[in-house]
Amino acid sequence: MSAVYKRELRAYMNNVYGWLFMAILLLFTGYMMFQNNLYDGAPEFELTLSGSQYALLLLIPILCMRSMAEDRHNKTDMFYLSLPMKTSSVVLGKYLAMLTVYAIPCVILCVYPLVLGAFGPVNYLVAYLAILLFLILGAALIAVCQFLSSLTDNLVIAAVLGVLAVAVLLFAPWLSYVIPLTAIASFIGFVVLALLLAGIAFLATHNLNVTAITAAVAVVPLSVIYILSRSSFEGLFPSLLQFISPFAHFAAFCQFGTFSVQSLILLLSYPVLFVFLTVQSADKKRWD
Amino acid sequence: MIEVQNLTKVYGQKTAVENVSFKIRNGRIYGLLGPNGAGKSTTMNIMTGCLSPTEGTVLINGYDICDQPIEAKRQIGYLPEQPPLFIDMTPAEYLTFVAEAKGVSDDLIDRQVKEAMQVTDILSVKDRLIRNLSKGYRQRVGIAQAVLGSPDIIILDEPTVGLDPQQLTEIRALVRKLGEKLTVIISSHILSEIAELCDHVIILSEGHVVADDDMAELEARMNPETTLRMTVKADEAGAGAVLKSIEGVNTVTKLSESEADGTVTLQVTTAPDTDLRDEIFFAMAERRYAVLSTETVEQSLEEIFLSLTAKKSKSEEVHD
Repeated sequence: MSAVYKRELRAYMNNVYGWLFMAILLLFTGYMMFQNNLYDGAPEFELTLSGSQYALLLLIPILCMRSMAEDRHNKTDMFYLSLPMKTSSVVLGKYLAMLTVYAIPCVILCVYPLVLGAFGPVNYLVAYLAILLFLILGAALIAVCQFLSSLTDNLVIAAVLGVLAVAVLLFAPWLSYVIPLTAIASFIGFVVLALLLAGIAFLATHNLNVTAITAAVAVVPLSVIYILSRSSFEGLFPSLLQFISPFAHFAAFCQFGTFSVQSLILLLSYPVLFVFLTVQSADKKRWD
Repeated sequence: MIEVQNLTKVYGQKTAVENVSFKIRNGRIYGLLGPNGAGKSTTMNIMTGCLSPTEGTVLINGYDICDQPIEAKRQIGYLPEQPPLFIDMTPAEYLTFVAEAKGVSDDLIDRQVKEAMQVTDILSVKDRLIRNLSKGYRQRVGIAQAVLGSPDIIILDEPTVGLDPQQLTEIRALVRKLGEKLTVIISSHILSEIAELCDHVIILSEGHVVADDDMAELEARMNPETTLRMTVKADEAGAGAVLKSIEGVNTVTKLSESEADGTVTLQVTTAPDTDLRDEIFFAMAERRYAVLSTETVEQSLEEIFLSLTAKKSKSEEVHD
């Protein structure tokens, strides 16, 4: 794994990608700090990070787009498969390299609360916890985008899929307020989600039968439960949107100071789940 | 040693290879020959663990590529049809990365990388970016990564495709050099290349093994009789009668006749491993028939290949 990690990290650092990513993230967070903390005079650094999360909408998909898709495009994925190395080591090496590129600006962010401290009292514990959660949020999004990158050999498609996925997660809390609390609205929401899953299954397998089975396995039980117990659907989809969005949990901490073990488990489960899915997706090439 | 047993790979509705079995013994150069789409790359990808077989097993020095992939892959070095190069690295950086990825211990990495660069003669370009190297040098870097990690077996999938004649000669010389120490399996659809490089040939056609022999044995098997082609200044009936009177002559076939010159060209088959040219010459001379030319006809690898692959196609048609 360390060989892949070093190679990937070197690729980011020898390329404009890595530096541009770090520069834009620092520029954005710097501007937000200037606006919130220095210009408006607010001492809460966590509000700066809460505003900075919007930068991740574009930055993370662009950082991750080449991760797996480039190997498929250049046929170097076959090379990895021929090495005496587990696929999980390759995927983890790549994931950790991206996480390192993301973590470097996060480490630099640790200086900001100290700068703020020179102008007045700052709650350092909250500020540094917010930076840690910002890192964990990025780790979750990187895992999602790496998985999407493993579904295609086209870097642009990988980036577009990544932006769409991060946008869904970013705007899910807002959507949860817009979607009516009625049972039929929730049912339609779940059906759309099931069709999205089927779409991902198609991208992963290019097999219409698997796509249809995935859609059927998701939609048929949903329909049966909806017919049998319509009332249980009331407000269910908006609640789910609130719960699954890592941005919602991060925002809850930054804006209201609330954070639960449940939230932490959810945030940490993203990397575990999506790294696992990426390994399956990369290994699938063997069975094509 | 590699043992491929009853290998089958099905892609959707298409069977790429079916029930393929062969053995690769140590210390020889093997050629995997077949027309495009015969299943060479699929077979190699399965042997190297890049693809999983639908059925069958591959044992590499006793390790099953599916059940013990890490141990099995340590025994082989693989150069796929498209060299797996990272063009943003120099050959030295790339080979160091491959050595680390193959689990070469830290104290051996520098030595192995240097040896691989020496063997493949890329020391002069070791610090240039791979993206700036010619196709021939890229192929050498690809072969260098295959020999890292001290594998016993090197598998090269069409290593000379797209090279110019100079590069082609150099890569063939390199393969020959590797074959002195290692077992080499090379796939190609260039018959002369296989004939020049390999001790043993496995011919695939439409996903099946149609021949698996040493080069010399294959030629002997495909030439069960000695065949002579001769041009004689005589009429067909007279020359034919002389030839049929000689003991050991099996058949006489007229190929062409020239009334203007008064010559006839005949094909004569005799018992295997017999040379009747002297007898034929003196018999013809007795009848004052001038033998203008005589040549022994042997099936070339190209003819053997065409005959074997054509046989396979024909049997498939009959079967259908």
